[in-house]
Amino acid sequence: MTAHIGESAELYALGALSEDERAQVDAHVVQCDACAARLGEAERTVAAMEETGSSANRRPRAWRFPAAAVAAAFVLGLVPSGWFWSAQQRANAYDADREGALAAMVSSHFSHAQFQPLAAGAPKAKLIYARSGRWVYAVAQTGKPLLLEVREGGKAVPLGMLHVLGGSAELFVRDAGTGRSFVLNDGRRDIERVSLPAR
Amino acid sequence: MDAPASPSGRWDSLIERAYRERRRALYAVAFHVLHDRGEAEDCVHDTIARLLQHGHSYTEARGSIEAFLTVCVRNEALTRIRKRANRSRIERERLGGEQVEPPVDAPVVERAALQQALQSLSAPQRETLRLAYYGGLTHEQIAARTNEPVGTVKSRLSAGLRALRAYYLARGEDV
Ligand SMILES: [Zn+2]
Repeated sequence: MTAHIGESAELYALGALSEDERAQVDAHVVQCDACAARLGEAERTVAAMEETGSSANRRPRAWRFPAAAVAAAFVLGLVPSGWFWSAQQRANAYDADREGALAAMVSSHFSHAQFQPLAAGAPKAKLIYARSGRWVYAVAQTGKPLLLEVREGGKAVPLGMLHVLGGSAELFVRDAGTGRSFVLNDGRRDIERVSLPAR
Repeated sequence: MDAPASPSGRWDSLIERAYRERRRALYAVAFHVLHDRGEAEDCVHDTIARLLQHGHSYTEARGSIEAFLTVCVRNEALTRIRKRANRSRIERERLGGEQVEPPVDAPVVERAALQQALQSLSAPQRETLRLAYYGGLTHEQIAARTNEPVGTVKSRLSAGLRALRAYYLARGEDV
């Protein structure tokens, strides 16, 4: 029998092993019930994390509007805010990211600012941001994934890719640091920028 | 996966049934990693097809078949996104473009309830677990990124996940 898997059980369940390392765990657990049991515990914990983070099982078919499109419509002034919130509340599992955004928005003051184009063809995009706090929520009217970065002391810090959903893309960043200049990058160059007032 | 096939088709039919009952939840698991609907669907489908055609490492001692499938789908999604990140890095190098840190690394998206659970961990455990769970990094990538020995990273991930299990158990959840 191969060596017991030990801590690799938790790493396997978290997805922190390479494919080869995972294959070694697979080969062992079919012969060792003790390690299979430990791996099962780790897998159930990760499954619980997934369920804590999503409402897939409780509200299976609640999807009505892509929340990013709803958020974009709100930000662009196309719908009243009351409608925005009720639509947001109906949003489902695929919008788990936005639950963070929603929680942050409900509990704090926020403003928004428009990105200014640096290149031709830059999509309409806004940054919603905490007026006292560090979260930001970027929404762009584009089907292409863009990278949101913050400039801090002349250095570009990547915050993440906007998630594309239908014709718009968005990203909620819980803690974007204290930088005030944000850019969207299309993988080749910065295509638009926004500078926030002091916050 | 090259794991030995199960001795009988017994588990296969359980896997098929769990897949039919849980496919939307499995899709959500893939989507959390991939953020692409079509790719998330492909990922779930390929995972199940491979488990049934090429064998799998599920045995009764492991317990929940749903949790087993959740982790299989997540691992497949992570494999896909790592390949994607690798491809774009190679492409960028070929084109001589500027270096940008892979965005997949950024542990930016937090989910409120889970965040509460994560608060029950020590700060180093929490940060390491975030890099794995949200950032989709392997233990070696985390070690390189945080300048910590691989052994330290593995211990933190392992202890962190076991502490989370204790948190769920203390709240009466069946994990
Ligand atoms: Zn063992």
